[in-house]
Amino acid sequence: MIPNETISIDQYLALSALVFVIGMMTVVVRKNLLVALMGIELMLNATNIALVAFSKYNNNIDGQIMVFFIIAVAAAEVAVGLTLCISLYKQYKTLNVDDYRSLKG
Amino acid sequence: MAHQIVFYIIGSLVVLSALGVLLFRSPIRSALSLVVSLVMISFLFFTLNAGFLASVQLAVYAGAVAVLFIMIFMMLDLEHPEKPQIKIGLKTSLKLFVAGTLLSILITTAQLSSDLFFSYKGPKNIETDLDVTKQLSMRLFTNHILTFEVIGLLLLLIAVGSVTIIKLVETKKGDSHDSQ
Repeated sequence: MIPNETISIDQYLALSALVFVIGMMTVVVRKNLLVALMGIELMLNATNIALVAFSKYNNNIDGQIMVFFIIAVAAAEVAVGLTLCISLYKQYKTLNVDDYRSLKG
Repeated sequence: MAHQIVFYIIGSLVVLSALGVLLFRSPIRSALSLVVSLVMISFLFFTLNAGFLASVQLAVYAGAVAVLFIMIFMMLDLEHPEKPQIKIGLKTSLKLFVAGTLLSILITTAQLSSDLFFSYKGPKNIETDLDVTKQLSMRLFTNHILTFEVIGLLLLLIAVGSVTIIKLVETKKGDSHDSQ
């Protein structure tokens, strides 16, 4: 749609890195298990930005196909993650990761 | 110049809403912020001439995944926001330090590799006179058909697996009730 010659690929990669690090911080800092899952989604989307940008600048369609597969796998991952969240909530009545102590020796 | 402005507006909205996921204390606000972030990333795909992926992103991420998250919040009744845990202590500064180091490493690597990228002469298989979506589907159903089938199998396994996990928890609960 828009020819991107005025934007260099560095800018897309910097945006991707920024979103990736914000997602990683979400996984590390937040105590809520569901919000940590959202952080994983952000990290996956950051890689998608980088892949689509490379696909565009490289004139190679395989990057977009890889993004398509990543979206499918991410949907599956969300389904399993939310199932595990529900079963953990049923067992422990909380989603705070600090309250899961059964593996602590 | 117009492309630069569009890119900076969309990019700053992506980063701001991603920061919203990190910083909002109520999980439901984090989820809504995630929706804004995903929609903006889909706009970014549009500007990168990937219309099909943008629509898939809108349907699967901003539609299905976000609704799934919000529905789980509704089911689990999580209306107590977390306590503000971002105090500037040793732990938080350590986490910020690690994140900043990773960010600088990533951006430096991107800049170094972009020189490599412009000298790279790989296969170019986008023809400009054909529709990108058409080329994507042609390549998807010829070269990558095996991966496509495996993804279908994976989705079936995930459907069976998540039902099994829930069933396992239920039977375990039933056993503990019987023994009590």
